[in-house]
Amino acid sequence: MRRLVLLILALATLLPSLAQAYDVLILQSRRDAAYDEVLKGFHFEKKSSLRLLVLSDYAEVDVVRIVREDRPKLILAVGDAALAAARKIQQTPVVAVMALGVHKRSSQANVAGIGMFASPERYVSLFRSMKARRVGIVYNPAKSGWYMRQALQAAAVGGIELVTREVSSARDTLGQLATLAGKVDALWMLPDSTAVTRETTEAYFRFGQQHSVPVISFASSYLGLGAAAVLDIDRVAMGRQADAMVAELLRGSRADGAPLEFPRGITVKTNPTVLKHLGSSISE
Amino acid sequence: MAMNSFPHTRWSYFRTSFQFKLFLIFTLLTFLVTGLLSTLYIASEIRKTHRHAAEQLQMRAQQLADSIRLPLYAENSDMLCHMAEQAAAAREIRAVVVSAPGGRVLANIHSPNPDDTSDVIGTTVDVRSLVGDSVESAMAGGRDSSSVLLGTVRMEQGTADQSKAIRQVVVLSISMAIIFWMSVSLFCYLVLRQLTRSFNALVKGINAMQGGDFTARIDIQSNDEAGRAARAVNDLAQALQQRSEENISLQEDRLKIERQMLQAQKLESLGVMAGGIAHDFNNLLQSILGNVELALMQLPPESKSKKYIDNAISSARNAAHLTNLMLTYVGKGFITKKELNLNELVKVNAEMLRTAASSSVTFELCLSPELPVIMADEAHIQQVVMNLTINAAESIEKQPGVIRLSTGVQNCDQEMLAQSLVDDKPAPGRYVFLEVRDNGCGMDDDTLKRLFDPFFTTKFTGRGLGMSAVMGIMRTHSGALCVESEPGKGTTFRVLFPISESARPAELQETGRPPQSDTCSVLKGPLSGVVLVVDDERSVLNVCSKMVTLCGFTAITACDGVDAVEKFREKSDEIVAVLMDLTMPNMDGITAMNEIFAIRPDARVILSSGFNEEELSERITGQVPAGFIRKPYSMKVLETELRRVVNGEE
Repeated sequence: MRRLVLLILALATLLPSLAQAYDVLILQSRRDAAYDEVLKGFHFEKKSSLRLLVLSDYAEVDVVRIVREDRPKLILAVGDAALAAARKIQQTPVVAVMALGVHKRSSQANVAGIGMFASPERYVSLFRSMKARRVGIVYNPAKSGWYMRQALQAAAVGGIELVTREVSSARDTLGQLATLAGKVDALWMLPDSTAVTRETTEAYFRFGQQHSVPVISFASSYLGLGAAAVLDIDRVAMGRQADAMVAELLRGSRADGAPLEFPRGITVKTNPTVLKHLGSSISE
Repeated sequence: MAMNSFPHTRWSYFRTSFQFKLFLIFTLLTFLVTGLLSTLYIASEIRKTHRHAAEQLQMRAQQLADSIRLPLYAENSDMLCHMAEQAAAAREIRAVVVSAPGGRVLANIHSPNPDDTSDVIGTTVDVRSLVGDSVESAMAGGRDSSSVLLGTVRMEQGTADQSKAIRQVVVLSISMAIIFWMSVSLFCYLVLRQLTRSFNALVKGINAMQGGDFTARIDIQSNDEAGRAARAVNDLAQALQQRSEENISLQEDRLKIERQMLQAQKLESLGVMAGGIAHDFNNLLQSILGNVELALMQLPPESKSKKYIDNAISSARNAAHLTNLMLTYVGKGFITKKELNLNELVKVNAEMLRTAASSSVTFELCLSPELPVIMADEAHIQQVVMNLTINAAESIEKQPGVIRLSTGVQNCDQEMLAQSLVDDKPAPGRYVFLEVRDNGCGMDDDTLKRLFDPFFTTKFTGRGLGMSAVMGIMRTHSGALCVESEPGKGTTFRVLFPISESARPAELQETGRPPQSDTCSVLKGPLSGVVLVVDDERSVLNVCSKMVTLCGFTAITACDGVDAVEKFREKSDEIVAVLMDLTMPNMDGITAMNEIFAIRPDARVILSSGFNEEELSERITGQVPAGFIRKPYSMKVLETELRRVVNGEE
């Protein structure tokens, strides 16, 4: 009896797979407009050899079995949940987008993608245009240490002094922010999930308001809370960037394996009111 | 009996009035509505106050929650306590408790007020993180708007302020309600009073009419139902008033007719009585006067008794005059109407009265020069002038005074003649008037009412027949008589006579017959023949037959009409004249005269009577007698009449 059930299940899963052979398996964390923008840049509609699997549509998805059965040539993980599921795959190359955890690639060589961090040079360039020499940063070394190393290098090149404060928990953020009072000309919010939480977000902007320093953040949603400027990621451009990366990987032209890139479509957005209140400006 | 059910006191009248009932209804209704609205308003205000306090407390707690978000997340108790103390410093805040999500109290501030025993309201507010994105959601587009619970804030507040505010609202609302209620009630009262004023006027007017005052009119203040009812009642009152006036007029007319009938009956009775008395008196006087004259003729001129005989004759003639006055009052006196000039009569009598009256009395004559003549008995008019003038002179007495006699012509209408005191009102037209005005003592109303009653006098020596004779004369002359008098100021008599149809301008005319002398005059020629003397009174018969004999005739006598007719038939050829009394038993004088005329149509009959000639002429329907003499007559009058009848001498 058990054998009969297993046979039926195997036929039910294998037969469609055989009928729908494809190159790219797109794992999407949830249905989200931001992800749709990425897929739009990925030219999702024009591609015929791919399969889209939205994880939030299912209670539990066995990605490993699907990959084993479908044998896609590449997996595009959209979002952290999709990346986490894709990390279970060891043989198939994975390109991650819209995932903060994409930088944890030390243990997995098949994971590549486009990060959520704008390049430090863009931030340094922004600080220079704002004439900010001392820039405060609160970060968790475990999560953002790799980025801070690049940021320090870029700051040194750009002549910016980074005043860093390390935290290991969100509650430490408030205290560390307080230590920056009078020591910085601007505050740099990193997309660090330890240093920036819902509980501590307010502290950044209150600090900026109390000490009249502009807060430079990473997402346009913070402009409404008091950020003076943000380096926002263009998701459609990110999709195109991922499309190009996927194409190179499928052609096998990248000899160094899966790359990890900074997003190229970055837009500077400002809150003119905040800048006016702070008496600051951004020169071209 | 229905009147007993009506309210008598002012309060009970007001209590049962339509105005009071409406006012009571409006007032109670207004009170209920005002009370209901006030209660609803107060309840609403209480709820609003509670809600406002709760919202205020909620807002304060929320404000604190917003401000302690970061210290609470950092669990900074010192800062939380400091901020809680600041929040608790607000009025009426009793307690502020800040707790971590697990219920662990991080700050607990209490500020008890031992004097405040009011209730406490409280609220608990969650302290949540700022609505913002996590890093993941912010990177994904910032669509996540959930927040994180950081802890709670509980805040408690006393309700003393609420109670005070509610008390103020209650007091203010009740005061306003009372003022509103009283204002509306006052307004209702004024409006209802205005509305019911018409009804009150209507009731007042009806009550006045019920009391018999039909002249009262209801003041119509509006054209509504009450006004129309008032107008209808006014019309009814006018009709009733008109009917009442007609009834009064009819009643007055009836009384007037009754008075006139009574007066006529009185006059008739008086006439019958006076006529009877005058007849008997005149017979007696005829006997007395005739016998005395016969006795005087027997006396020598030098006889001392002659003076006494003359006195007796004078008294007998006064008695005859008095009898004539009585007859005059009842309209049966001797009158002989002729055209008469009133001015001449007044002049003659005024001269005579001026000499007789007191020297303090001044006579003024104001006689109209062109005065028409009147048809009147000269003696009677003279009596009128004399009586009125004497009356005026006596009213002046010994004080200086003026008597003014005026004559003239006056056009009299019915209204003017209605003021005449003579019962029979003459027809409107032109009248000759004589006015006698004095400024004497005047007369009061009682005197005026009885002025013309026979035998009424205010003088000690008067007989009380003067003014009644004036009234009788005016009655027999179809004239009018008006009197105006005021005590202390004088009296004015005005007598009016109808103008004679000939209406010749007044000229001096000789009055009628020449004055007869009572003394014997020289006889013009011898008289002879047989005269039949007829009278039922034996004494009169004797003296008359003696007087006829002395005149030269042969007298035969008869004691009544039947006897006279019989004797005339026996000696009709010899009898030259018949002297016959008018009133006799068995057969009266007129019947006997007619019998005599049947025997001998050219028989000469002289009737004698105590009545006047006009009355006699009314009773004679056939052949008229040859002459008439009024008892008592003198020897001279008898001889003159016999001469005229027998010999045709004037």
